[in-house]
Amino acid sequence: MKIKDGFVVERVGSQYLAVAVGERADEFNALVRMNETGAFIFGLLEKKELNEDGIVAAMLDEYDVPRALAEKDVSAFVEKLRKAGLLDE
Amino acid sequence: MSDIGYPEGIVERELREHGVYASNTVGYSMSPLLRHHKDVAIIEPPSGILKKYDVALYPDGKGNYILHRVIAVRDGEYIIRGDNTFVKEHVPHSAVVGVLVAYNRGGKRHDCKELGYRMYSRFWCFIYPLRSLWRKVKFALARLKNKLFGKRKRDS
Repeated sequence: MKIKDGFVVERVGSQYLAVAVGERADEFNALVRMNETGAFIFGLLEKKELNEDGIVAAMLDEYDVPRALAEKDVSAFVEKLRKAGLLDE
Repeated sequence: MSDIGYPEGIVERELREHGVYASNTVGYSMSPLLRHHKDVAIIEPPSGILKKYDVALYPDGKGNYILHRVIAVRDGEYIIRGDNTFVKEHVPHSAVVGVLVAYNRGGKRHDCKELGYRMYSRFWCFIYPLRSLWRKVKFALARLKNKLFGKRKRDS
């Protein structure tokens, strides 16, 4: 899976806001709010195609978190992205 | 990890709950600063009365939000005009829900405290009479051209 192109991510304080621009803005008129971990995953999926296992592996490289928690968080976040139609799969 | 919300009608709530809001810009009224669907405006709630040159966000009462520049501050109201419009709007202080604090233009983040932005906003307002005159001249020339070379009705 990969994030569809056409998003700008802005950091404001501890919040990360993703907004669609260009042609993407015609079909996606919403604001995605993320924390640092969400933005990390969003950034990964903007750059390359990964499955959930790949995202979890990258998270475990970056953050000191138990695997079970990383898997749960990744699964929940990916589901939100999927429901919002942000993923190319 | 995230909240995904739809902006229509909820900007005030988003600002109250999160203290910041971001959106791509729609339309050409803030051109050349903000371009239709290309740039992102970052908005925060006003911390008091806005100042001249601030860019205010306010609802138009029809379900849309307007992002235009304050060109004068009066008792109880702002005089506001888009950078690419030629009509003054009178907006009560209480109607303003947010103020532009930064924008992403062509992928680059700009803060409204930057010298370059501040120079642009003052210069653009300063040359308003020239811009307005140029617009009138353009319209007059277009009318003249149409009169001289436009299609004429064929006499029957």
